[in-house]
Amino acid sequence: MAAKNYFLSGITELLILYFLNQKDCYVYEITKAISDFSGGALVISQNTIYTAAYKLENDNMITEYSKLVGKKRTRVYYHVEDAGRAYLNELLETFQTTFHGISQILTKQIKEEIEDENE
Amino acid sequence: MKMSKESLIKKYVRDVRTLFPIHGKTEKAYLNKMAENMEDFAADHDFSSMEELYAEFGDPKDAIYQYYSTLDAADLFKIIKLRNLLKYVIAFTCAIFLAAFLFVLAILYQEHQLLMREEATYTIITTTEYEVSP
Repeated sequence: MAAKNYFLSGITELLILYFLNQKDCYVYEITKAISDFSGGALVISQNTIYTAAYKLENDNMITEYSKLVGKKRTRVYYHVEDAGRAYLNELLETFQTTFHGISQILTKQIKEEIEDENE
Repeated sequence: MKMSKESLIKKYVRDVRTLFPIHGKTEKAYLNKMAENMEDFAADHDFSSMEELYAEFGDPKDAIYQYYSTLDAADLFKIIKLRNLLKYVIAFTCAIFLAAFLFVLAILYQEHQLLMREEATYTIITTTEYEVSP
């Protein structure tokens, strides 16, 4: 469980920025989008999203604004800034390099295991 | 006893607050916004127990873990330094108070001893006067 959390915390920022790059969202919306678009494979708690968004906001990657929902209630929406878009590209590049590297390691290991079995 | 959504959120935020090693301005702002986000969720969704809240928002320990995992090394070391400094300040203040207390206690004891000696002298004088008067 801890390993899963650790892995997810690395990609949370990337996913938040990815969805915000499509449109302005609020925390629950991002949480739901991650779960829906991943087919339920990625379930990230709202506070994990909120904390990562809080950090991104402090780093001026995203900004927040309040929008009137209904008659009296306001909801906090997040908006990605140019710095956030640049950071998203950086994160995507890092993710692809990492993913490619891990795939290569795993593929090589699987190949070696198959070869060992055949011998 | 069934708790209201508002009470559950308050309890959750309180639980997270108690887990923070220090309670600075940043932590306060973080908690306020967290509560705001939870209240927004509560307006559209139903929940009646802490377990349901944990399932949606994660365990309070997770919230702390997430908070500190987003900090970079420099910020984290700043917090550790501040916490250590706070510990020393508290220990130093306690030591000062203890020393002051012991000092006052010693003075009081000295005065008490002096008073006892004076009383003893007074008693001897009175006894002497009583013997002389008949």
